[in-house]
Amino acid sequence: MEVWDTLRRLLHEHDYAWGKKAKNKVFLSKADRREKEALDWVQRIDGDTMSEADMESYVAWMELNEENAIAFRRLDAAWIVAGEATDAIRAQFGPEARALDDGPSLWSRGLSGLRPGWTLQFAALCGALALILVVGLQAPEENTTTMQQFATSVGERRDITLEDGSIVTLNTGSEISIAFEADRRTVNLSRGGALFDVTPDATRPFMVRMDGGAVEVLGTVFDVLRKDEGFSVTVLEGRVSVSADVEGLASNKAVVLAPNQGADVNTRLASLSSFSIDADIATAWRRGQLIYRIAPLGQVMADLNRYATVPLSVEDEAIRELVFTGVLAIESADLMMARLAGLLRLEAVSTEDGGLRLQSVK
Amino acid sequence: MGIATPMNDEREFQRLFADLQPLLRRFLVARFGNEADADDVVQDTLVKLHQVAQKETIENPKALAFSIARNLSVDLIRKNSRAKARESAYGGLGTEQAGDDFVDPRPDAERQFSSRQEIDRLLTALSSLTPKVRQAFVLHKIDGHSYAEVAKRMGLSKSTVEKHMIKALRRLSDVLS
Repeated sequence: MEVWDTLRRLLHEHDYAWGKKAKNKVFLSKADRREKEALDWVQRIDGDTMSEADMESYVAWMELNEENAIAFRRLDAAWIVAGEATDAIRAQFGPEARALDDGPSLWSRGLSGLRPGWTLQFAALCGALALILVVGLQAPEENTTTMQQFATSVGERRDITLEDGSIVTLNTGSEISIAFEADRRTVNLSRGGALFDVTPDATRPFMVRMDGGAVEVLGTVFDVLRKDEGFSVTVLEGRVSVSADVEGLASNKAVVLAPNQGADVNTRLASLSSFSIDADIATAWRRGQLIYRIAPLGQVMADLNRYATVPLSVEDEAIRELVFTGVLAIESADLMMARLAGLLRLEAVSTEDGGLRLQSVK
Repeated sequence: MGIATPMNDEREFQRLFADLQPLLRRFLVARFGNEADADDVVQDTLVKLHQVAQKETIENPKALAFSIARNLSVDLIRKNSRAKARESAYGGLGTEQAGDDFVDPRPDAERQFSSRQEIDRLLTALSSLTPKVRQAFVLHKIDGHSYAEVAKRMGLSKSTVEKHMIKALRRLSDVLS
């Protein structure tokens, strides 16, 4: 690939050398370079991929001189405002932009750019897009022949073997629909969470989609859980790619996860973060257990509520902030609450709405 | 599920925030060019991070803090540029309302379409560009293609695509100020 990069670079230099203003282009003026650097920072900040070290160098660059700062702020504001008006801009100039490059400059794409049939495909795509816009629908994912649906009720856990041999373990209160096609395997997770043990098939990627993004793999074992604001992924075996499809995030951001890594997509914060995690512990639910290590009780309760048919609550904030370490067997709500109460020296009492509440011992 | 968080300890949280605050603030001062806005956003970031920390496990609090600050600063820059545009449109009359009072309570999608006048100005600015510059801008910024993709498609070097981007953004920033 290095050869190709070099070749490409040479071609671009060639582009410069033969351009109309070759002399001005080869050596960027100070102002030009400043603006390029400024734009680079604008996009990196927008992409939300800055490490702490990047942050330091950004600040240093901005503090270097006032011209840098002015160039940056100008482009930054324009970039942000344009980002807010994307729909209007696309409606007005999108067709023109996509059509233009079939025009006079076609020859200049050279050997690499041309692909037969491309124009036709593109025209078809434009047509399809226009249709979607006119009808005002969101593109449905379920447009295939073999569609299957599976669901679990609250408290239920269920193994499903798919036609390719992959095994899906549906967690409590979950729902998936499955569409297998010749070139891909797609699962829509519309509710809850599931563990996927995917049979490898390099010719048919396996994809789990949901609001906020998608997880794509070739063959691996991983866990997905939908949340109110996004979803989380935990990988046990193999590698998976997690992509966030969230407004405010630069295009489609993606991370690749290895075993014992997890990722969290948050649609409200428009963030995609990855982290190390003990995957076996995090997916203990498939063995009927929930395992916690110094977890706030609020988080434990959020989990238990996914397994309980009655509302489970705590008395106050102080209790919500208690720290819990231990193993809970996934059982009926009253058994789980009783065990939790015992371990934390609290008591579980019935509430008027038929639920259960943890409170300090009176 | 079920993995430890160091964030449930209030003191730990304060220590962590004190640790990252200086760089966060410098970042915001640099981006805004003024300290008052930066201080506001530092505060809002603290509050938001704290809320999240109480609700769920945060695996990388630093990254999350920067991410929150980044989103909040985008909101503020949007707000400021809208206020500026309004000010110039109404000949400076709107100065008093242009401050904090003007927090648009409508949801994003709706807000996006509301300021028709502002959008018209952006569209006019874009139509005054040469077709190639506009094409590079639309393919990259609006359709989300990478520089490399746009360059290949338009038969240009990446560097030229970048120059086109700068030209387009400069034109847009002219109508903003």
